[in-house]
Amino acid sequence: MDNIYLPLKAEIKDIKEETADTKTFTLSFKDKKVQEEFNYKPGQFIELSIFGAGEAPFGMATSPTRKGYFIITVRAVGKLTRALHNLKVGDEVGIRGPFGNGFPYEEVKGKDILFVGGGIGLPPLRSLIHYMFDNRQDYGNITILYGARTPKDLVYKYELEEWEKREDIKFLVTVDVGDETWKKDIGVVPILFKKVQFDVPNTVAFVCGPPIMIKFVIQDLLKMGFKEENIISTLERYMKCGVGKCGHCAIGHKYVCIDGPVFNYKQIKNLPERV
Amino acid sequence: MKEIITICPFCGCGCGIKVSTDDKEIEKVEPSQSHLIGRGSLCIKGWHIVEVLDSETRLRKPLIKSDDTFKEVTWQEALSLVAEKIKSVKDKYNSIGIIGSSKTTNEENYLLNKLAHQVIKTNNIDTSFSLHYSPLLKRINEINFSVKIDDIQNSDLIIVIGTNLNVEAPQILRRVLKALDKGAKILVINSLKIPLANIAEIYIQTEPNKIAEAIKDGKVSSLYKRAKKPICIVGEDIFKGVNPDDSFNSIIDIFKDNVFPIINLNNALGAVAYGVTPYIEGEKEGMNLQEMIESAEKGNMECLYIIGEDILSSAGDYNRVKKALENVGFLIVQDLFMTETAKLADVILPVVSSLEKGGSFINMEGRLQDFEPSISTDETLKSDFEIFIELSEKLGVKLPYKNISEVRKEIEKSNLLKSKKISKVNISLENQNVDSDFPLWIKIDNPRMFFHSGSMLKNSYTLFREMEVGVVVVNPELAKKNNIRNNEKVKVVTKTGEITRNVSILNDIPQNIMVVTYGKDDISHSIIVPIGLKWTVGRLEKLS
Amino acid sequence: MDCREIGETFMKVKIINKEDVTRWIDKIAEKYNVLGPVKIKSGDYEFKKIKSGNEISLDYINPVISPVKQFLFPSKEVMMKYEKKGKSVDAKVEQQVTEKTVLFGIRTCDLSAMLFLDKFFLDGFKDTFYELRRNSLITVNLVCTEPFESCFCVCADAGPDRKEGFDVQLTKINGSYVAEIGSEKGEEIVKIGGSLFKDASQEDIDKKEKIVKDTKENKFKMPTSYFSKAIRHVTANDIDEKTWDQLASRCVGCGSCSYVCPTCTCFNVLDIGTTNKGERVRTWDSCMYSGFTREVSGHNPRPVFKDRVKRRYYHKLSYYYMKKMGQHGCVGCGRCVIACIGGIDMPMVSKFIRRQGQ
Repeated sequence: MDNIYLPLKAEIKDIKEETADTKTFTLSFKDKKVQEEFNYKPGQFIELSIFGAGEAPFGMATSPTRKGYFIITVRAVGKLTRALHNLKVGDEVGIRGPFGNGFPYEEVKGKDILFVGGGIGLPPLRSLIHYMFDNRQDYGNITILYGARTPKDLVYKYELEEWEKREDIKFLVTVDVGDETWKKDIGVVPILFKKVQFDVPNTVAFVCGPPIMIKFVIQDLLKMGFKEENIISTLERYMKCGVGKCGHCAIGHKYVCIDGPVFNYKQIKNLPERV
Repeated sequence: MKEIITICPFCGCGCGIKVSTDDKEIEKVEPSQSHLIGRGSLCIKGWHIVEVLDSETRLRKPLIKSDDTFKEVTWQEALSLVAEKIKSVKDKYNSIGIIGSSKTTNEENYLLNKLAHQVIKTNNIDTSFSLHYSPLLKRINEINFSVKIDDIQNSDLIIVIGTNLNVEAPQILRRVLKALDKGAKILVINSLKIPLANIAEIYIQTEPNKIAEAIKDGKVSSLYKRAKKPICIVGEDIFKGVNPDDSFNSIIDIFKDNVFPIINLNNALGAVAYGVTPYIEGEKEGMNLQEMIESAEKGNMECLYIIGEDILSSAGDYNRVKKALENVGFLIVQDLFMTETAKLADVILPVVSSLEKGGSFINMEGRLQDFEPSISTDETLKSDFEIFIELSEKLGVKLPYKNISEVRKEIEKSNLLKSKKISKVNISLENQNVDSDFPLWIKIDNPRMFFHSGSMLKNSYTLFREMEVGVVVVNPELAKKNNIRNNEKVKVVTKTGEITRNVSILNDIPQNIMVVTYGKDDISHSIIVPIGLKWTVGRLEKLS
Repeated sequence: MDCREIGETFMKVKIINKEDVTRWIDKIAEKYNVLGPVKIKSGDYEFKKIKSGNEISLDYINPVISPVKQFLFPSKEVMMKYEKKGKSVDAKVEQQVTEKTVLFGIRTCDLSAMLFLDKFFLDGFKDTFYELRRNSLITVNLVCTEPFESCFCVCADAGPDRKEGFDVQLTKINGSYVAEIGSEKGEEIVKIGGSLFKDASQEDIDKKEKIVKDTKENKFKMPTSYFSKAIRHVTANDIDEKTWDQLASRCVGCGSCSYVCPTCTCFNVLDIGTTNKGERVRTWDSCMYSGFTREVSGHNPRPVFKDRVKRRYYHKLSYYYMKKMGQHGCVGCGRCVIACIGGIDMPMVSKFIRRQGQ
């Protein structure tokens, strides 16, 4: 029987440096058959192992519509992530997954979509953004608002330019503090709200970023009249096993790795513990 | 698989731990239900005894320092070098010192005493007990150790002075709570609001230097007079406080035989009882630990032998102690881990843990408890016992003991505490007081009793995970007065030294007290306190 | 045969003389690995491998660590061993215990805990390590007729006997034991006893029911009402903060409650070794430790004792968890009463909550 704790081998195909402490890794399972059969939902995560350093969860930054590889974007903050940053193309890591509930991409078909991302909150949103690009006709208006502390802290800079050029979406970007070359908006992400129009009852918002940003964005969305069920975010918790057994990610009676990490605001509000 | 009851080697409670072992490895650890102290429970340290003592970071081979790095050597090389250096010291009475441990067994302590007096011929032998518990040591002949842990449970009035039992002695807290649940009155006298103060009947908050007055308070004396089985529990805020002698003397003069001192180190009493002290009646008085440090400072300490004690992390006055240790001609360190003190050594002798040897410990009640080894010794290590015997032989004296049981037979009649043979102790600690330069009381505190700054306990994954980055805790009014925000980095300055810390604002702390917490893998807190103490006076400075 | 799917067909009842039980155990030990309660030198009890029924005493004091929990979910388990070969790391899952094991003489509370653990580890993602051990396990549980002071299984509906879920359930009536067979596995090991067993008469069965009823009604010291009221208050989250403050002041953060509780399942996973060679190990963990939820950034969603104490009781008593697991998170074994240093055990907390902290 398959052991849910045993990682499968994957190879690092590409490494991109995003910011001073963040890198994007393109991975592919070493066994071609496993990679072919590997399927997941946007918003799910995998558990990445480096034996001797540990294991940690990372959100998928790619859409399942793009086959042959998957991407994660990782900031170096602890033992495992620092070990990962020291690896090179061709090195091996262990992967378990996919885990988590994923974004409700089916349920929001036909609706207008608003993405609000902050800093390193963009990677999990990207999985859904790409999915929607690849199934564009299934969704209404798509607006992407993204911000970071400084221009250097923006991730996927190479892709943001493409998004600006696309005619089938609206994309705006801002930074808290600009630099000499920055010509676009300056300010926190919520300032972008006044630059766009929403059909609020028909729009679903996906919000990802640092906790304090999420807090203010949700406040503004509620003020604009968004229904609590239409504000969707991801909860962060220290996770270990990813399969709902070790107990580390439990909030109340919900496990972030099984019932989440994607929750809507109504569910978040009703959890018995502070988040 | 067999089951051994070992005695926990960490705090002074001495709980019994049932280990299931196949001699090579310990399969599981469980509190012993039948054990008089533990009675089916253990604190976080006891549960993780194997994580600590069987950690991968244990020292495995003898090391000699050459060119600032350590080289692995054989036991023969290491012990021969140690013997040679000891022999070369001419003035044994002044230039050689031995610092023993609160973690070695009684049998090993007895042997160390013989090694010092009969073989090396020095009286400079001590442990950190004289540093941290000198008020108690001075009056130790008066203490009968008649209050036992179950007396606390059956008491009708428990006065808890200067100790946070949740952290210093969990098993004592348990008995206090059992007494409370049976209807006893709990009276807490402290400068900081400890958790027990929330559930005690009466909480008297005092200034750190006014504890002696607080206990003379009318309410306290009338409660004490009316009680049938009163007990007074005293802890580190007294022994390592701002006027240790005055407060402890007042306490023991009033409460006499009802005093239960919290000695939060495993076998600290055992070390004194079996002669690891310079204050033995009938013997010439030797240098105590502080005097040995002072001698080293002056450049007079040719050889210092430190066994199982991370002086640099736990003594206080870090900068001074570091300079002193660096001044020692030849430093020998015998320990389980590469501690801060070990890093400065010229020779390191790795030893087995309490799980790998048998012996006895005396807990804070004065109770002797013996235990068998749980796992067999790693061949590359020696026990303190073996090292003392071998060293003794290399120094020309064959001590007549083949094993621990032979020592045990002899030591039964040699307990210096029981025979009241501790001589007059002349250590006097200065009273500290706030003034215009240093207007605030400062306590250095370890939130989870990671004593010795956690130098042993941090080797356990679970215990290390519990440690947090060190901060300085201040009252919101004090922060406002100094224009300081939460999380801001500030300077804490005392007469002894200065450090920087991030501020953590807490409502429940008095305006004139700051608490500097022990940090994760960081012993900077010991820079700002005088040697042996946990309380001092200081000020807060904004980093401009 | 999944033990959870037993039906009416297996409800056979036999009877065996007290003196013959020892011989029965001897016979089982010839074919299977038998673990039973052995008294050790210090006076403590330990579930150990035995070769003969003479080695055990069935009127034992329940060890502080549940034998069922220790067998199915050991305090330290090597999950896999890894070794680097060139650029690749080979990880091999450790060989599991597949030898058939009989846990003889566990108490019914521990059996109820086992059924809770089954649901937890085998629902959703199947925990493979647990599953292998579980499939090899056969239990013979004793119905307690003399509960200890700390026992309250009757409040938690987890004892002193069960109507289903057991392989063989033994109840002492006078000089014999009534043996209820609840599964195929149970049938297997009773058959080993051969002629030592006779069919139980209706009178025997009635006597057993009477003894159990008498135990439930007269022998327990813990009032049942506290428990159900505590569940209601915890689920409604209407307990005032002062109550939790009082309870949290007693907590020393030892984690004993999580370790001794037979329904607690939190664990930590560590790699012990280097990146070249080592083991991935899982060990028991406790949500009462501050480091349990602390994230790499340093942020801790449960920074103070109060948060953690509150969370523990929410997990054990909340109706939402009960719905998910099909039973309480508590089997009334009383281990927390013995092990908690702060005296914040389930009965005390239930009483405290009901009285809102008075």
